[in-house]
Amino acid sequence: MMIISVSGDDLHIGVENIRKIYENGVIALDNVTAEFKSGCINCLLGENGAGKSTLAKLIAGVIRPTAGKIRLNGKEIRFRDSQHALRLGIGIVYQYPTLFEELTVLENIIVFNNALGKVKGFHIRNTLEIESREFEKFVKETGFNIDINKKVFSLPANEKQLIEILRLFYANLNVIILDEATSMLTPLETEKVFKMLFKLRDEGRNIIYITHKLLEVRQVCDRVIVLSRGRVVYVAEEKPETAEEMNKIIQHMFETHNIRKYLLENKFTQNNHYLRTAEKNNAEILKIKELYVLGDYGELKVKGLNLVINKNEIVGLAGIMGHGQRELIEAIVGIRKAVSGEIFFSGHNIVSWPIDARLKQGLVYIPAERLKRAIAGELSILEDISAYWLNISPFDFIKKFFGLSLVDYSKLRSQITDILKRFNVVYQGIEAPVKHLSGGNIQKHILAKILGRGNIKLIIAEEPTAGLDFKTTNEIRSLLKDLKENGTSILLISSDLQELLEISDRLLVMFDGKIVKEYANVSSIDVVELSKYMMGLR
Amino acid sequence: MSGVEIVSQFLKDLIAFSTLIGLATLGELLNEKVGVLNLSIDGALWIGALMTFITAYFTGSITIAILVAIGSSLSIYLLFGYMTLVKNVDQVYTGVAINLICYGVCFYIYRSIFEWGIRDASPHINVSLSDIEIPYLSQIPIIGYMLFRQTILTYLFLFLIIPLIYFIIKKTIIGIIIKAIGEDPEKAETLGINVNRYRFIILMNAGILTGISSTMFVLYFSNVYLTEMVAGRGFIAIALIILGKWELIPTILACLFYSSLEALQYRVITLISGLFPYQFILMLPYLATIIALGAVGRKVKPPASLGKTRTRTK
Amino acid sequence: MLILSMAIIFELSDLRWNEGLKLMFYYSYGSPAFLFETFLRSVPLLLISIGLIFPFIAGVWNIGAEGQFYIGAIMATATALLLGELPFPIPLIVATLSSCLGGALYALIPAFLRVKYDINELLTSLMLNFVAYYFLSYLLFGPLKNPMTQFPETSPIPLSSRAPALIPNTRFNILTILAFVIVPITYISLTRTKFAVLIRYMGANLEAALCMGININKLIYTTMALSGALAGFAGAHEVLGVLYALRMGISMNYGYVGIGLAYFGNLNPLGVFLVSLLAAGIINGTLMLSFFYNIPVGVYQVLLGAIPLFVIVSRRITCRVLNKSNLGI
Repeated sequence: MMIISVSGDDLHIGVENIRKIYENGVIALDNVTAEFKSGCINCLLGENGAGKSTLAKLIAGVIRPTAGKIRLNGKEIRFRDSQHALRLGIGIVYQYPTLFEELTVLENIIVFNNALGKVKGFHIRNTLEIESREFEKFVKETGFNIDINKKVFSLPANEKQLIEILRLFYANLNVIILDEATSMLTPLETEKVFKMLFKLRDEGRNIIYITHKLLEVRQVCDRVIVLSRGRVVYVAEEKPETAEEMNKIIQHMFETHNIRKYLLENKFTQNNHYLRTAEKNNAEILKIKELYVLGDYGELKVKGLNLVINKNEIVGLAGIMGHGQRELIEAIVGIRKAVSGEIFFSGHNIVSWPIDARLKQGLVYIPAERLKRAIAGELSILEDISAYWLNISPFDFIKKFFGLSLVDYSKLRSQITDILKRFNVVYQGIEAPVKHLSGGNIQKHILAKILGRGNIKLIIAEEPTAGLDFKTTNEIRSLLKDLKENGTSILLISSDLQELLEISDRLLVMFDGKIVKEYANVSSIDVVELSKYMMGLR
Repeated sequence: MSGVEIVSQFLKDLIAFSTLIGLATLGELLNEKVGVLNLSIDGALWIGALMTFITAYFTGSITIAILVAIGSSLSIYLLFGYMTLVKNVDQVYTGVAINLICYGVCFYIYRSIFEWGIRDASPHINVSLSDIEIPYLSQIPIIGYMLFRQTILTYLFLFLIIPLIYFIIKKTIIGIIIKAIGEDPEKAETLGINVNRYRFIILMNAGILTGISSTMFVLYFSNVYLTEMVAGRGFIAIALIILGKWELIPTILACLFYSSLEALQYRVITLISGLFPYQFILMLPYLATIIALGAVGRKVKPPASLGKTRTRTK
Repeated sequence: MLILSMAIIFELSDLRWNEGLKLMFYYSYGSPAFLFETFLRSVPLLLISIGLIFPFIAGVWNIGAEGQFYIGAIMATATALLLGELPFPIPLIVATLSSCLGGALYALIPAFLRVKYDINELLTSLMLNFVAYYFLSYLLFGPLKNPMTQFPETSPIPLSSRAPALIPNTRFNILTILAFVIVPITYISLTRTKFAVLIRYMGANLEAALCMGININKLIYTTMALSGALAGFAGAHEVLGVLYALRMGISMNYGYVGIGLAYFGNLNPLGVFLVSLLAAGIINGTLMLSFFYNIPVGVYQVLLGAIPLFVIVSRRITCRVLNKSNLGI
């Protein structure tokens, strides 16, 4: 079970005529042929839903192609499973976390070494812990300060992602695939990771870097493969230097020739400053005073936080995930009880109110992890929306029938059909299960459900465009801006800095359970300074 | 009886009872650590106890009886394993269903054999496990009496099973892998861990342990078979694991706590049956379990994948 | 499936299988008298199973129906004995109501423990079954014991509290009628009310229900109380309408069989109605058979106990036939 050693030509990966069709009939990849060269940082580019992650998983052995071949150094190979690929020297960092939360970092490394074949089940821990201490040294050498004896759940999101990346680098693998692996890192940390990627590339390894962020393309890529709707639409063998070359890439990524329109909508600019004017209205809609909230393990996650949201504004909350954002949101919505502090909403102190009371008052929540927390996937669209509406704003749906309160389904159906149309949801029928909708439509369904009725005063929007394609992302962002114009305030929590800088009127930075910086004017924010606040270096 | 003698006897009973509940509990503890919730322990205990009784009645051999008990317990666990690991049925539902079948089958078999078949009005067996005294050590006051005058099964439990499990969980890589599987079996699979194989082996081991513990009902604590014998101890085992926060030492302590109540009940009933309705003493273990669960309940997190059915994606 | 296993058991007991099945059907449903008895027998099963539909849809595991049944029976008996002097129908009504109340309160204990302390209600409701059982034993050997007989049972309850037989030569009484009336009521409440929508959501995805503002705690209390009340009512029916006294053997594991029946009936009141009739038929049929033929009592226990397993297997088969991926169990 030796890991193939590094040498010149060895690590070329080719995919030929790959098709991948998922069980629900979705064609993720359609006749994809591409090469990934060693000694090179190959960029796999495309917007969300284009098929990048699917291709990565195929190369990493996690899933099998429906048709087509994968070649390693010219020889066709069929991966038995992801461990097989790992032992052949192919490692991947996914978009989602794969560390075991209850285990320490060290234990995770041991499990990983087990996967690599370096240890066996019956080995005594102690002798292998010594070897794993080498990893600790490696981490320090790369300039990061992470305590490997801590349990993973106690680490903030950026450290978790770093561990996933670093353990791949440490494992001496020949092919390293990074799928949106810098989503949780601060810009400065991302720089360090890039430096390490360059080093590995110069050693001759094969790096596949997947992203949808165009900025990173210019920083890191040696060659570019653009995927759109499951097909390879463009390949660039040279690093894109000029704006013209970038334009070509963008054109293919979004399959549009109207670059000007795209630029206007997407505000892709050449430097790190974002231009915007801000207008404020001083009536407060939400005021949080000295809020303390505990996390799932009894530790304090929100430590005396203060913030204010005014009417008609979008307040962005920036910060590395894991510094108390989730706990803060849950305390505002009512899912989690604060241990002390006050939350004033529209003049009332709601800190002891149940969730439905807050929702009925106009404080609504759009959760992240939508499949887990915002919908009951197995139920039909009708049932999912009915439950929410009947619970929060049932007024004209209840008919009295000989003294009993019964539900008027015909009225429900017509209003639901109506609202789905207004929110541009594409669906088969309202009796179909929610989980059959495509990702973007699920989120639009959720928005229709939550924003479709009642007098909404404040929206807590948590990662509203995560994982969505460009078109839907834009739809949702413009929807949020519209809502703001019409009197709704929004607290936007996002790990996508670009999104925050694009939409917010004010930006707050959260670190270690407190607000450490407020930018009243989102124009002329220095991103470097912002990163420092996010990392607690200021 | 002097005070010391009473205490010694009490402690001895305590240890004996702890073997009974402990074997089954520890087996299930490992199960739950890898995310398997086997609610049919109770049923397996019923069948094991009954089979032990029948075998001992007809063959008079303890060894064969114990082997039969292990075998029957294993078959229940095999059924459970098949339904949940292979056929992917909901674990809770399967556990409850298998339990019900076991109860029914026990009623049926017992009645067929002893009421309709042999027409033995009060069947009892003449063999039982005897206490084995270890020379010298058993002379130590109190502690010696408590620990070294036990049956061979207890010695097995105390000096082999417990240290072995401790070693595996705390000192080997397998312990880490167990934790990993318990948290997220899908992630573990991607790292090359054969989750089903681990779960199956651990399940079978639990079956063996449960089988051994089921023999103690009729071979030690009693020599007749009553259908109410097991009295929900399979579920108490599950409750004890929750009390023990799914960790080895606290679970063992929880078993000891429960066994102390059982030991109390064992002797005390005969002492005070005149004074106090015995049913309330019988209720005690169940109430205590509920109260104890209340004390622990809030802060405890089970292994994240406990009891969840896995969906196949590929 | 069920029939197949019955045939096997008959075979094992030296009875010709087709004879056995025929006879069983006869004894269960064959003649009007038998039919009424089967209906009567089905009542506690029906009530408990229907009651369990609510918490099961919501994902609340009420395994304590057995204990709630006992408590209901105890409350009914105690009230009846206490209020004996009052004229009919007052004691009957009060006893029935008190049994529903008792069952509901007993079910609220595990509900409370879950809401307040996050303790799994499966274990607590189960433990309480044993507590109720021993409590019943205490009462029947102690305070409520009938001074005139040797058995653990109460004196027969006063006439004023009995539910009179509505059809001569049977014990078919008003409580029985009530039980059957509950079926359509349940049906309506499960299809056209807001409550139904909410519990379905909660059962489908608890975390999302929470984030969407559904009051989980209230639903836990409501569903548990409902099923506890119905289980208690089942107890009242047996005491006030069938046995006219309280005995140790009053429950034939109704609480546990009810769990299987609730699923067997697909968590649908109409389905549950049908399967509880079926189960009652099995019990009565096999009891009769064991009287007259050489089959041990207890066959029905195996069969009824095996019902959940049959549910699983038959679901699997229908899944394959209809080619759907997952029907929830």
